[in-house]
Amino acid sequence: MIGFESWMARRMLLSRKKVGLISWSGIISILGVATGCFALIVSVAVLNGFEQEVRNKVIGFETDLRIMAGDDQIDMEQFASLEFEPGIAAHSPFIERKAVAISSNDRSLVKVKAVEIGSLQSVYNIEGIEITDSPNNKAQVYVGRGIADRLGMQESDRLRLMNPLDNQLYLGMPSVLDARVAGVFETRILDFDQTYVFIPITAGQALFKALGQIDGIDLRLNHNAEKAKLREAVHSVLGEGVTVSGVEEMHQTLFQAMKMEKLGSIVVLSLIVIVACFNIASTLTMLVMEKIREVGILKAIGFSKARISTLFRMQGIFIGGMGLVLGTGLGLLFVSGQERLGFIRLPEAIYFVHSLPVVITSRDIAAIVLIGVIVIALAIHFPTREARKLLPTEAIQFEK
Amino acid sequence: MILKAKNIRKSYPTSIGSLEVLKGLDLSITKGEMISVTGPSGCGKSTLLNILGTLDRADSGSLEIEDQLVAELDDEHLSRLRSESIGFVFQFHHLLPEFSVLENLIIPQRLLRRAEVDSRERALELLEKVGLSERADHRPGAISGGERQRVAVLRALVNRPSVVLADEPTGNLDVDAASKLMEMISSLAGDFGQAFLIVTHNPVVAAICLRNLKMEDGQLISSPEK
Repeated sequence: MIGFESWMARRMLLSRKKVGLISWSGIISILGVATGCFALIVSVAVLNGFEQEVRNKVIGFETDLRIMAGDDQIDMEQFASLEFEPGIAAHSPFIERKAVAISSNDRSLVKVKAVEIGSLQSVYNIEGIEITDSPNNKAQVYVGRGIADRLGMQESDRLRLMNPLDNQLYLGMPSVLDARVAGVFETRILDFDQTYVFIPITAGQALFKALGQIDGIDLRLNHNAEKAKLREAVHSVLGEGVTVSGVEEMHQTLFQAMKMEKLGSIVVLSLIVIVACFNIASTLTMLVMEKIREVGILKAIGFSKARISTLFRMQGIFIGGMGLVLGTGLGLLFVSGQERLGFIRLPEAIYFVHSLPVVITSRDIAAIVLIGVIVIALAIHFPTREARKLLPTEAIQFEK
Repeated sequence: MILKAKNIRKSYPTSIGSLEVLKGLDLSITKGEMISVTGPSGCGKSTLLNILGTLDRADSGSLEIEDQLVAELDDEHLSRLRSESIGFVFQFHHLLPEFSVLENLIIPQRLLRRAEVDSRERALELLEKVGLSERADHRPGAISGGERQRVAVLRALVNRPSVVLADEPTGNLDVDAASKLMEMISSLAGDFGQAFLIVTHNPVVAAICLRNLKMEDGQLISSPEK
């Protein structure tokens, strides 16, 4: 029977009698909902795309999992039993502290990360640098592009790293590492290029007076690694005193901000759908006004209140549904086209990607469609209720 | 007995108090009867039709249609009763302007879940009977006033109701078209055995009916037998 009512609703909506204004209003409503849904799909896809790019880059530099020593030191011999755990692709022990970097031109506060230099590419995804034959030579350091520019340095220049924090000045001079810049790296992520200097772990232990000690171990995982299981394995081997954190925990504020930005965009862009749905409500109200006499006739020939509601609801669903399908469809087409062809290009020097990144998940699509359906349902409800309430005797005598 | 109204009362609020239009009215209609109701304008004839057709409710009294007490029915059942047992013909045709003549005759049948093919066949059969087959695909706006009113009568009859309630069916037609319409009603009433209750000012229309009632002071009074 829904087929019959749907047929009637379509005919009533698309009939040509005195409905020019309503047709236009209907078309505008459809376009409004379509625009809102399109904007929602595209903006969510772009935000997802950038979030994924940032996440990948951050994970690239910060690694997939970080084990941090607690009150007790990490026992590397115990960790050795984890090295061959499936899922762990590479690892590097590290010490991370602040120090003063001094070049012949200037000086600056930097973060020094002492790692196994051989793991710079495999663990930290540092590209575009050449690892020297003797990677743990303490004279070889790798500095971020921002630091190099700030201190006016380039490859092969001398750099002095000074650690004033682990020394009490009145007891002696701060420890110092005289090094040579073996490479300048560029990640273009957050402030890493302005902050980090990589040095060999042994040099770091000497600089920070932590011989035989490490702050933690960075783990690079395989794609199919199960993080939860690995966390359990780490705790069972190294004890509950160590902390294991992923990139979301390391940069909680950043990822929280990106989530909030996405939520904010959805809320703001939903307003387009809501405004478009006001249009649907006014179109349907005009339709009900236009069809008052017909409602009376339909009631006289046996249409119940529920069926009258269904007739107008179907017309609302037709308008809203067309907009929803059109907007979502065009949005997905745009996202899919951008994903495959990358037709919107971006200046890579500014955005670190060559084309607008887009990612849309079925969960996002479901959420956007759900928002559309709820708003459309509310827009349909009130005019439909008015049509249902019309008295047949008054409706039949209604003068248009 | 297909319709039995007993002690029907109906009043409307006005600026000078309540106006009682129907004052304890009684009426019984048997199968195949053709009844005319005459009376001055504003005496309550249309109100009576609306109450008998279950489009309006009486303030008091009882109405039974095909042994169903109308007061006990909810909207769903009332609608079903209207669809199955009651046909309406209004002074103005009141066909659905967005649908063709044929579709106007199909829609009431589809409400009773009759298959589309059967509904179409029955509609075409009726149109053929009254010589309107060629108008089947026309919209109501594209046919003459007399033809529209004939289609409106067919719509009232298409579900083979027990009673057809007609409110001034010829009121908007010229003499020729009115006479054609009444001929058609008489012929169809004979064929299908529906009862007709026709509210009219037209003495020619009243003359066709076997039972004539007059509305006076909120009551129905029988006119002398012909």
